[in-house]
Amino acid sequence: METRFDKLSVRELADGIKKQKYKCEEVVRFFAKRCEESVKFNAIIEVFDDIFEKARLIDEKISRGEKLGKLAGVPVAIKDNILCKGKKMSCASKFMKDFVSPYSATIVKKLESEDAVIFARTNMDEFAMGGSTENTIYGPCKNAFDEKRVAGGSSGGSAVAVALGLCPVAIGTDTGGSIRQPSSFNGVVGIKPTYGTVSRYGIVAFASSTDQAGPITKTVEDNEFVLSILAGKDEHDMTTIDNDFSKAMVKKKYTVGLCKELVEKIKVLKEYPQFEKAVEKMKQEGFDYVEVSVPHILNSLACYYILTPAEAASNLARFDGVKYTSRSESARTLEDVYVKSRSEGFGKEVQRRIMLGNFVLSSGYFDAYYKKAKSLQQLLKKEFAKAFEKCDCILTPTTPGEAFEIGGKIKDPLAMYLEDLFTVPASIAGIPALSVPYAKGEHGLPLGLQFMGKERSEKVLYDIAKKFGGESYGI
Amino acid sequence: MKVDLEHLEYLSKLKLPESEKEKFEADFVKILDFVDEITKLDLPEEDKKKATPLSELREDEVKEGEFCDTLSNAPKQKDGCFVTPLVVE
Repeated sequence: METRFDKLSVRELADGIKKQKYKCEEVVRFFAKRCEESVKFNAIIEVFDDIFEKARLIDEKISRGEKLGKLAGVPVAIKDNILCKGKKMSCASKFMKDFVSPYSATIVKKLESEDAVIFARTNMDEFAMGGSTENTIYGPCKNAFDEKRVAGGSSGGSAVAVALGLCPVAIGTDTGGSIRQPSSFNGVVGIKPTYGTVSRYGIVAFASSTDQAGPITKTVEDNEFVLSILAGKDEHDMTTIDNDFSKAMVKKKYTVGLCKELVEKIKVLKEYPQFEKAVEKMKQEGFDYVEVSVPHILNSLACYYILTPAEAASNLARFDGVKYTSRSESARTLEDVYVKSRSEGFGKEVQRRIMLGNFVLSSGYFDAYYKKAKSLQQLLKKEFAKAFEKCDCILTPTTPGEAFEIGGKIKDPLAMYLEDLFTVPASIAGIPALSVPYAKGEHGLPLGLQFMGKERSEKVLYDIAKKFGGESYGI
Repeated sequence: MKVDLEHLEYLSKLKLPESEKEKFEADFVKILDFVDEITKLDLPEEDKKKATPLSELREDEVKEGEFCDTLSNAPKQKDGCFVTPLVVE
């Protein structure tokens, strides 16, 4: 019988390859076949054409007795905004559809130096803007549990790929919830690390001050293992920090915080009974509870939709029809090249965010919106730090509910933005937040529980999640 | 809230199709009305003054970088340069 490689942990998979229980080539063939069988989900844009060659090289190294890295032969999918030298990368945008990466992102190099096989690129919302993976030139990515529902976003393809067992690990990026929300919608584990933990070099910038990459996996153990490989200071990204989180101390007993400003919002959710049950379960398992306050937490969402469009407007100015792949055919003057290339190349949501950003940065509005939002960000950081004096983590649902229907919110941008209520605060404050599956909603779809912690407390969040018992559903 | 769409298009180097302008503006105003709550907040003085802390800067040294062909994705190139339409008449 064929080995179900998708049922193994990342460590087991790599160990099996190293001990020659099976060949890397078999592993890669298994996952490539699963990708072929799951084309209808639109999770994978492209399985890279050199995976078998890479697998053979790994098998050869092993047969020669060479020592291999921690991810020996493990196929890793990357979101379509992460550069891998010589491979296409499009940000799911018409503008970038023919772009070929001239160099590799630091995280890709890190994965390769541990002998991972960079396996495929995954579907996403264009330039990582969106919460459903519907804003994409490749067609909407479908939820792993219900094809009529969204994958979540923007790292929808990465979450669905892991949930369906198309790869053992996928890398996503998270600016306001783009790893955690799709992880929640598809019953998998995703983390947005402390800002600066993972290098952004070679990842297409959306909002540089909150962008972070992180792993999406089936289990908490796998997630911790892969993040420890991705993390680290990088001379190419001056915002990176030394966050050797795996050395942090863990405790026997933890105090979980419930944020009083959010409790009112949580109580009105359809899935409140499930959340209440999770809290009860944690109490029975010996967790202490305390009410904490983050007075301005409910303003995070407004803060986020001022700061990140502003940064996006600036970051996306580089797409001008001169440097990156697309130029409007009808452009005659330089101004034409800019305006027509951008108007034809960017999708609606990207155009909206650029215009929002330019609005809040424009003369007459800068102080009232952008500057005020920056001040609020500072205040929120302090408020969170104070709350974490009383607790080890703050618990919330990851999303306000189950995955919604495809087409359900795409026409109402504000309704889509409100989906980010629970994920955005950690992004604004730069703190780590982990989403683990914990229950099912009224339609039987997975729900995620979010643990937010103070800066560099990833190890504590993983430990709490393990004690809680958050695991993937598996398909 | 009134929005000067034309000015925003100019700043953004974008041109919306005529048929989409009305819906775009309505959505845009809805979003602005939502984020407007921030303008009414009374924040402590110290947070207003505090600029975003800068990252630690590295030494400014010349180092061997990785060769990367910046022109490889240009829509038009010639003799190692990006090509644009005529800029000066």
